[in-house]
Amino acid sequence: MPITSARSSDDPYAGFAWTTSLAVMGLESLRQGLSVDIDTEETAAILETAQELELLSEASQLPAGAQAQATGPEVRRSFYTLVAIAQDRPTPAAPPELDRVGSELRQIHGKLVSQRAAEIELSSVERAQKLCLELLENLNTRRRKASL
Amino acid sequence: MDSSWQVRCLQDRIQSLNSEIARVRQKDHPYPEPNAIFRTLLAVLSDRQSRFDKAVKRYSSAGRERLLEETALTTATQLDEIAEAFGLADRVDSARIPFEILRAVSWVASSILEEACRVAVRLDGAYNYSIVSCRRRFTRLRWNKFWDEATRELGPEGRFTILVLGFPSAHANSILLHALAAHELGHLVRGRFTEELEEIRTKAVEAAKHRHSELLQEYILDNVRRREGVLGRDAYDESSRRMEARLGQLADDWLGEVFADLVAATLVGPAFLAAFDEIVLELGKPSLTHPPGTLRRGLVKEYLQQRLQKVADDAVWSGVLQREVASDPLFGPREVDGDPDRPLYSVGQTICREGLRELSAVAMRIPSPLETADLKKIVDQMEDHIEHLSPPSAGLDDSAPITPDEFWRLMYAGWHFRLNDERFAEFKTNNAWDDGNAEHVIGNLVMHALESMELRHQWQKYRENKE
Repeated sequence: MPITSARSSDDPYAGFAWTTSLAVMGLESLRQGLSVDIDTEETAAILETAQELELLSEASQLPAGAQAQATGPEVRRSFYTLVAIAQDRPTPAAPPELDRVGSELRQIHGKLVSQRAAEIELSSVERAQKLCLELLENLNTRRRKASL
Repeated sequence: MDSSWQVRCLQDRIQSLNSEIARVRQKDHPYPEPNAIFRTLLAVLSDRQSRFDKAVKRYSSAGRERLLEETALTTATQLDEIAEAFGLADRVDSARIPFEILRAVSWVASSILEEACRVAVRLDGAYNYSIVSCRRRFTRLRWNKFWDEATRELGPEGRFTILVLGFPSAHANSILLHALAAHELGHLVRGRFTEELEEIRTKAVEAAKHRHSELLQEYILDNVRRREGVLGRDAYDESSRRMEARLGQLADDWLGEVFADLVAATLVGPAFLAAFDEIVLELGKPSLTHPPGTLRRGLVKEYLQQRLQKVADDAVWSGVLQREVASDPLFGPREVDGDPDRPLYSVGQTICREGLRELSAVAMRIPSPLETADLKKIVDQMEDHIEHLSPPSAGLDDSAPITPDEFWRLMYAGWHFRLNDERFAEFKTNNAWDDGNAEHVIGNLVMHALESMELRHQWQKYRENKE
């Protein structure tokens, strides 16, 4: 970090937003029956988004009033993300939904890497895409506000 | 918004950014590092362009407008980040940059970070001193694949970085300012002690919250946002979560700054504070990311008294270690500057004080170049050379191995000479110089010494390999 508080660091949520947008694109290809169009980065983004959703779920279950001293930089970072994106819009989902979609994304990823895309259920693709899109909207709203 | 218009704007922005980076890349750069950064950025840009084009096609059917809209916004964010990163490297070839310092800084950075490092220097339009590790920044942005490809020829994959050292344009020739590199490298060294630092942080935050529970309660109540449709209890919970997040981030940042200060004090003693005084104008003003200068100075002093007693007691440093500001705004009236986060600064101060003892124990695991029995003799000798306008490295034993410790001892000696009122006054009188000229000469002598030592180190390494 620079010696004084002038901005020269990157947006902490830019990488996460990009990964989520790649995952949404991969899911769209699945929805349109174009699984052959999904490349390795979109496949990897689906897994990474699953991990992020699970972390967000864990962060949202931290005991009230003790979040600041939670151990683990990743869970804490997810807690900061949750608070940042809930400033102007309702949080996309509650912990059970985050966990469920996280687990569905993991299954989708597993089937993609083992060349069994035909077995992926359309309903889980649509559910996952809906949640990821809402998350992306929250991240983008925060960014838009910050840049004003 | 009309989506076709938005798509066209974004495509034009991509083209324009691409042209600008390619134009600067074509300039004749004296060193290969900026080219590696430009190659990475062009590769990211090309990837984002093809993915955006794919999104435009994929989301062209009815009912998919929201998807396109959000992808466009995310791509725009990526372009902002590319432009920011480009800003790190587009002024690295100014003729005013002292390129001679690059190899010496790379050498010491590689040693302390245990990672192969190269350094690029840029003049910062802002009045600031910073070191950015490209590998770490690009990894956070998920650009690591492009970074690895662009730097394959420069260093070992995975553990290689380019550090972009930024310092104020107005101080382009101030070599002594680079004592601040010790603080900035201190930030990057944190990764070596993640577990210990996490534990210290947890305990310090817990203790501080306990001590300031009433103040924090007031802060939560002051910041409850009452809105239609939101129950009072929910609004209170929301405010409480916001406080927890702000305090958590403040604890991360403040403890990070204090730890970097302790690492810097380990490497160059109070010399980095002297350099810090050249840059930071508002010693007493805290922010959510930086603790106030007065607090940092006090904590460094305590650490030095514990670890490097002789350095802390050296009269030359007393002014640097004891500098105070007229009033400490931490405890001033709230309405003066209207900063709503003021209560958190008091908690932050307690967090730093609570963490100091254990942070010091971690910093003590880093060997100090100043922890040598003949420090006084070495510094005296270097100062004698400066006094006689000879590079302070001239007196070093040729047969002994040259290590990065010499870099930090030189910085220490340069500042020690500058702050020794009697000696500096005599130096000016003997040569009929004013403060500015005399400081410039000390900087030049130190720079020649750094260059000479780095060359000697390379020579020793070459001979060892040959044998």
